[in-house]
Amino acid sequence: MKKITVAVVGNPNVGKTTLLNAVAGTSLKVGNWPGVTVEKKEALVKFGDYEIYLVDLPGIYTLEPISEDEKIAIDFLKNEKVDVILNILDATNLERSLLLTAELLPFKKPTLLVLNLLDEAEKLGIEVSEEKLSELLRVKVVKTVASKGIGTKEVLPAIIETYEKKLIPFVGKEVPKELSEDQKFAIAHGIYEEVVKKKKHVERDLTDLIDYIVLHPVLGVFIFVAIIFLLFKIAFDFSSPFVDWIEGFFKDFLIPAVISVLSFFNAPEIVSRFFAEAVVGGVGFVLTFIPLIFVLYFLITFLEMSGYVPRVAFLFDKYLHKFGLHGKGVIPLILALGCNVPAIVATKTLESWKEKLLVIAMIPFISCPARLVVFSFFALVFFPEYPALVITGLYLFGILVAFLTALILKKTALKGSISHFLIELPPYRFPSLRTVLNISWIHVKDFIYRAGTLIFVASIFIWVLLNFPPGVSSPKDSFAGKIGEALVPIFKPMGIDDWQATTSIIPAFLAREIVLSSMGVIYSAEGNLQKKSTENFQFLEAIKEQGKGLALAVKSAFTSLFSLSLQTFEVEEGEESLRSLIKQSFDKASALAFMVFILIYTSCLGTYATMGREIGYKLATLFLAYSFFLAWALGTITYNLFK
Amino acid sequence: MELKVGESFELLEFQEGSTPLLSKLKSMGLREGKKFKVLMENGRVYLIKLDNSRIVLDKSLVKHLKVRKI
Repeated sequence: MKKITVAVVGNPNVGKTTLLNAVAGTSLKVGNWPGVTVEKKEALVKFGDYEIYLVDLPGIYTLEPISEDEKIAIDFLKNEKVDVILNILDATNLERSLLLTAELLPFKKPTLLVLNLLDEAEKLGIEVSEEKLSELLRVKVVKTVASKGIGTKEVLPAIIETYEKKLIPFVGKEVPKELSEDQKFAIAHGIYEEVVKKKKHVERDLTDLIDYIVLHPVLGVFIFVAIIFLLFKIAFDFSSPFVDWIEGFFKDFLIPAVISVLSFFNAPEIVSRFFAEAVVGGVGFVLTFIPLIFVLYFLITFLEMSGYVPRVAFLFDKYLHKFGLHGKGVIPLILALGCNVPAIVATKTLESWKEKLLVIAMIPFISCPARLVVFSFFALVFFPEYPALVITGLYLFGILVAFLTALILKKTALKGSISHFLIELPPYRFPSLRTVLNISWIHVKDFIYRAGTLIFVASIFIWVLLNFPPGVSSPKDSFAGKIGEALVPIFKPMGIDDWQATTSIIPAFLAREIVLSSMGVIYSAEGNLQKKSTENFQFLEAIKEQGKGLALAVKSAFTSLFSLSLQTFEVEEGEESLRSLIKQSFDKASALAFMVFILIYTSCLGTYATMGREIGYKLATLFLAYSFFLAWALGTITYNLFK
Repeated sequence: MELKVGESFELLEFQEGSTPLLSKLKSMGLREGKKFKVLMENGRVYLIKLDNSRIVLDKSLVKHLKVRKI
């Protein structure tokens, strides 16, 4: 099989991702270009006798080295063995697209031109003659509407033909190695004049009309708040029935089933419990993240591809600028309210490394639903007259710490002015759902691979800590309990001086909300770690139950969309037994200190793993240590202020 | 020069040297002789319509543009 390397080049928003998705489907992979935080999309597709390796270069307007994006493109075109250039052109902005095409001429590589966004061109009364274009540049031209899959099937055969016939673009005379600005403009303009006919003049289109409202300084903010509310509502209310079902599936079916089977083979109890609770349970635990992460990525990708996201940057730059931040930083910061993981990934749109680091350093302090679960419980128990006030206070405190961190960093390690604002607002588009689904799935796979493996290993480790030495019946005697006891002196200044609370913090590093279920296990009456007997486990009955449960989950997911409130955030009562036990270990001041600690300390493997991938594990670990000390200090101050 | 919202301008020339950002602006389609309309203003940025594209640019970049109102 012969391998062809194809560099996919084009302006931003021209439809490269959609086209790549239509051509490569599920073989599309997303990662980062080495050494930088620019997203890299690539795909390996088999076609005929060939293996076509498509590499999506960052969307650029020019090959002049303005930022990382252009440097990556130039380096790849110069140094990698590129066999074919796939140059995607925007039919609605052809003259501009052709500027890049002109800059590609000196590379003298076989080039295939794809004329995309033809549907939008038609609405604007623009007619492009692809025959003329093909004739002028002596290369093949494929017409596409990538979002609808029109013309995309012709791309791969055209790539092969371009490669086999060595179709190198030629403008009638030898092109110098370095084109002057005037030369490239002359080429682009000349071709444009010959190839494009404008049939009608459209002064204002639908996008302009929508923008009058969406970009309005006051209305626009209301619309933004409404969209964000909807985003979170759909993400949480739709995914949580599935999360509950997955939890139930593992706890009530898979784990008892595995124990049942293993005990049938007379495996020692600790072994069967290890496989069932630690290994299978660990997998189950990772899987509980997936519904939320998938839905969040789906909605975020949808918003990105619709064209709305850069408009948010335009709206909020005015405010963020005052804090030394770029308007583009608002999306990751808002996303952080839903989950820090996609928020960190969303910082890829920030142009400078400094700005990116700045926003990533802010994100973990913005409270997320996992923390809300813990806050709700403690607030209801210790501040029953005004739980919402306490919770809101904590959220605001987190935001304050985030901005203060940014201000300090701006004055010290990350000094420097904000980058200038120069972006294009694409027209509003209804994204191809297949592409959105595929991209979301790619992000989820990445999460499972990166954070998931870490969480899985850590959860097994924590199970071992809680259940060893073998035969241990009380959490106090387990390794975890011993560590918890050793940690007590550290937490004493915060008013927390019993081993149950400190031991619960250990599993909470996996994900903050676990602190509650760990407390449930560790505080419970006899501290009994033995699970209920599995003698009564009936395989068929259990499967039927699970099936019913899944159907209910699907129904619940859809019906929750019709209620106006955010059901997931509705504070739950919590178990009676744990409430009374907790009251014995904490008081108002230490409960508040504990909540501040959970708010500030980055106790989340998902966040840590994602940070590690984006900024390197050294910086991520440094940040983790910073958040721990800050959390400890603020928790201690809180306790002493309120006791 | 202050650009007023709702008005259209023609770019006469780029002034005061060249920076990477000005190069990017040129590659985004703004050239001598091109006409654009100022759609909105918000804080430190303008939103302009240039051919079929909408570009948000820093007011500080506008200092490098010599324009005439049309």
